[in-house]
Amino acid sequence: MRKNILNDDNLYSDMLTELQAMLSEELDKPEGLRSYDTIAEITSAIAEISGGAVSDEKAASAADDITASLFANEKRSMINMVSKYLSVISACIIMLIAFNFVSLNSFGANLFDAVVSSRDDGFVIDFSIKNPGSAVTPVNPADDYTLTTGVYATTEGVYATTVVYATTYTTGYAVIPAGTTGSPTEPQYVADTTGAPQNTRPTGSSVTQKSADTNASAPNTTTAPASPAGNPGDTQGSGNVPSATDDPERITIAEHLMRECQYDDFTPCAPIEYDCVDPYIPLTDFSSEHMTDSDDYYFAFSDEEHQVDIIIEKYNDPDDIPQLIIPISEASHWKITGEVGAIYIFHKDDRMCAVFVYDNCVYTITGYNFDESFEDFAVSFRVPIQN
Amino acid sequence: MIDKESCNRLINQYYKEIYNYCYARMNYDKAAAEDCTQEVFVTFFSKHGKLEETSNIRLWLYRAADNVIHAYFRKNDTSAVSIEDSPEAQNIPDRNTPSPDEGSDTLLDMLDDDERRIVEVYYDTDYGDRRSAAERLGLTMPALYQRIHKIKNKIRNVKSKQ
Repeated sequence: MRKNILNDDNLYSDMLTELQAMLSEELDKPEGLRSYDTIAEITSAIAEISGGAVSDEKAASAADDITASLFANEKRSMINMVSKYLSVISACIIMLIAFNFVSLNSFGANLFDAVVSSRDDGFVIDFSIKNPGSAVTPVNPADDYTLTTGVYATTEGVYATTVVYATTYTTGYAVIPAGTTGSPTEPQYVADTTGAPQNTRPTGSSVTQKSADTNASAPNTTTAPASPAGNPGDTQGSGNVPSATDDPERITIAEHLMRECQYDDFTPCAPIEYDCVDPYIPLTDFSSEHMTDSDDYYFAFSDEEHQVDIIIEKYNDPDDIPQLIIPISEASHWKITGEVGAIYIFHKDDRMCAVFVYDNCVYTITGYNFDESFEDFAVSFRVPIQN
Repeated sequence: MIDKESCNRLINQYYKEIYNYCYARMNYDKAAAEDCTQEVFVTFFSKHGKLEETSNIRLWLYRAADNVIHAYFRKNDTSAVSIEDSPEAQNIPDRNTPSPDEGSDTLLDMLDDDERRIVEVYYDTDYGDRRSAAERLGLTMPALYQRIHKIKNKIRNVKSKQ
């Protein structure tokens, strides 16, 4: 030891190599399990040891520069916005004509194709390539098919439980009996708003992170919401998270997606097949962000053995959809076609990630500790059709 | 658009953290890290009209940093390189560490008990065991390495003055 610290020529490079290994280990974890405190500590050590750390003064100066740049840009963007609107009318005419042709021939088609490129640490999907020519083959309106009951229906056994905002409501779609056949041009189901929310999300409040056992109290209401007919598992008192007598876990993945998105009047695509995935796997993490050009929803479902992450990014404009990074290096990847259109699958070891775009929404579905049958779950995502 | 003061406060709060993250993942390239850090914040404020609407600013900044880093590698047709191949990492100062000489015992004697213990932990364990050893000292691994770095600098500074 007495000699090592003094003549260890590889000390710093060894430490940096090990710190990079720690960083990779942390980044390989699902986003919901990462510790950003740990990441910050590791990268701070890397910067300091390698001589790349910035001083407080330099950081403050850089911050000032960025702020100045932002507010200088703001004026320019206003000018650009004005000139953009002047041409929008003429553009609309062309778009209407184009979409008329598209809608006649591409029901259910996903206009988004993508370019997938690989990097050393994963893949990048570029959805900016729009290729109507490679869209999903339109479903022939004359074809019959069988719709399976399940997710999109509030059937018996599905509990309508109190949600954080002290409002009980039943969402979902009308019951479709098994064996129903029909044409995709006809609405198969409508949003069932029976027992619509008695209270909307409080204005001005941000969406807080919710988990199955959160104790966040709702802002108002003192009445116990009524339990929708036909749904066992009545609600408990107002304002609180379901008590132990209720069964908050008896909510399917699809229902969770619909419930949270419904606050923003948005009905997402949702899965209807759960062969390898427990439909009632607990929701352990949820967050949403509302930004200028998109609304993002992050769901994490997990039990002792598995985890399913679903990220829905709803963009106002298809041009705003950025490149998507799949941080799974050396993964097998392929493209399949579901009802939602092209679905890109990335698979390595016990991790599978499925990505697709539908209606300006990017869906990223990641499964941990599932076998290849997780693909069936991802492919089963269906398009909501409303009147 | 968020007001200027809030902008500046948020950037000051997260600048170093995001810079360090970009720097660590961009082959220790300071200039590239600075550029990418700036782009992260510009992108953030272009998307967020109100801070109150963002439930997890830190997570969003890291996500944006990931996207910026990947775009940088794609644009520059580069990828992460090993430390041995990184020209920036070649400048890491330990390559000029002087060889031990008759004064080496004196150099070690100037370390206090804590510093000696830390050096012992580092050199008596390998990577796999070092984490638990560091925890017994009340340190995380990155903190242990930073202390080793400081001790090395301390020794070097004394040596250079002799």
